[in-house]
Amino acid sequence: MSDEIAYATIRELGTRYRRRELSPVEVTRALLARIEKVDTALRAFVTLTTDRALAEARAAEEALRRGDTRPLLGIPVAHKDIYLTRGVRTTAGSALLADFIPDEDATCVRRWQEAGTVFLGKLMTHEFAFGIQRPGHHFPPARNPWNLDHIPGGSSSGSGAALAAGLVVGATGSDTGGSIRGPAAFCGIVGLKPTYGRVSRAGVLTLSWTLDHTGPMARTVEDCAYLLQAMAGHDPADPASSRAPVDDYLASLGHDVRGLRIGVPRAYFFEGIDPEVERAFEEALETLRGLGAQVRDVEVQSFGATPSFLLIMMAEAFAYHERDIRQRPELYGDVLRERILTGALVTAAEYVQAQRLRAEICRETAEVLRQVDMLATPTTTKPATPFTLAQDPEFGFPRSNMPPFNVTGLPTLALPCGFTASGLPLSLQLSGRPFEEGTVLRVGHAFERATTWHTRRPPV
Amino acid sequence: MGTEGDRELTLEELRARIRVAGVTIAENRLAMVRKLLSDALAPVRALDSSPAKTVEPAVTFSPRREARDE
Repeated sequence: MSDEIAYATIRELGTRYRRRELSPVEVTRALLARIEKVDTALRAFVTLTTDRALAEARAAEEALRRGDTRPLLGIPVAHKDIYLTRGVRTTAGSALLADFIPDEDATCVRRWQEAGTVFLGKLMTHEFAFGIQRPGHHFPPARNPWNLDHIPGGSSSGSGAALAAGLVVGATGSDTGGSIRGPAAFCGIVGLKPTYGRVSRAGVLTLSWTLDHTGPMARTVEDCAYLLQAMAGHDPADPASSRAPVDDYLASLGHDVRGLRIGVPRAYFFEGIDPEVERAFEEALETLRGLGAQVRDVEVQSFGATPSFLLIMMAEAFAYHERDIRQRPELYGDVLRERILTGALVTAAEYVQAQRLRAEICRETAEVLRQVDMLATPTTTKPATPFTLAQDPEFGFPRSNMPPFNVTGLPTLALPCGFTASGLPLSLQLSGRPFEEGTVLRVGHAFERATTWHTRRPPV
Repeated sequence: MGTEGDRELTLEELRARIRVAGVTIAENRLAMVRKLLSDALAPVRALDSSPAKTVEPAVTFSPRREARDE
């Protein structure tokens, strides 16, 4: 199978389907063959739905013959294994749910189905989206296609790895403290954490109710826009779901970025930054200036209080898991069990104070976003972590550039902006005002068109 | 800002919390858990809550968009 097919975009596939140069069945078969070839080493997939994928691809072919114009028709996708899939095992990467077969689909799964996608299977996740699997775990972790000795990021680890390796065209992710953007950064792909409430979380296993977001992952910004379009919108099944109107995200990509004001909050985001990451980020800012954006430093002092988000995340995770972790702790992996149990140690007052700090971060960020149109930061301060370090029991929970945007709920895009000398991807993080996914995608798209980072392929 | 922010969670305090919560954490993991909780608590312990405004416990956004002044 040629890289040309494995790495084709949604627009390219749609065009070739309609010209009868390619068919969804051919593409699905090719991707399934590629998965069989490379995924033994990558472990991006937990479950393959081969028969169903081929049946859906055949149905898509029929629909194309009838003149169906849906842009996602016949596009092969896969879902993070915390998204419920009716009749298909949903494990959350945990021994606790190793044989769990849901009888319903998550709203996002259903919406992508209705858009005509082809469902290839379920993708590895850190256990319950919170704990990397250590050696001996029931579900071995996914690996990074750029270097198998490094993690692909988490928790949407399989989504990042599968996209980078050309195994799927789009994937779902979830993001509570960076779980869409981290794998996007470490795997050299694009991930969008939409505004809190923009995309339904109904039928997606919970980590932390007030921080959880769902969103699309893809290889280009335009693909992310297509996938977001099909999943965004009000869902009465998610109490946090917004009724804000859904924009035309593809139309947003058509506008340039001249005059757009981009703020760079350097405090917090540059602490302990790797020199290669910093250099790539400064070059990205130069590119944005070259495109006509006005880039200047801004200050959001309260971002320094972001680490308190862990009190919220761990306390809510414990509330969700309390019964199982008290009754069957042995079914939880070491890393996850320790993090969830730490949530039992957070007092009610501390939880409330963390939420008060969160409100102050939101208030100050909103104030700054009246002076600029968006914020730009490095997605991570370091490239992908080696497994030897990430699986070390003493590794802990490192400080991160991504949680400020879970705390504030702002739409945030991660996209490739360079590589280290050793060949690991680096990433730019763009955060906009609430419900302005279109602006964030527009800037990301303009940046992508001015650079070639997203066209590099890993050695798989 | 208060002065409590500098105060780290002690091992004794951690053990007391574990007892009250009724959970089990291995003795050789206490140092790690103490660091995880201490780092998360630091901003809260540094918070002088008296001037802080009353807030909701969850994030909400108005769907109304503010006018841009581009």
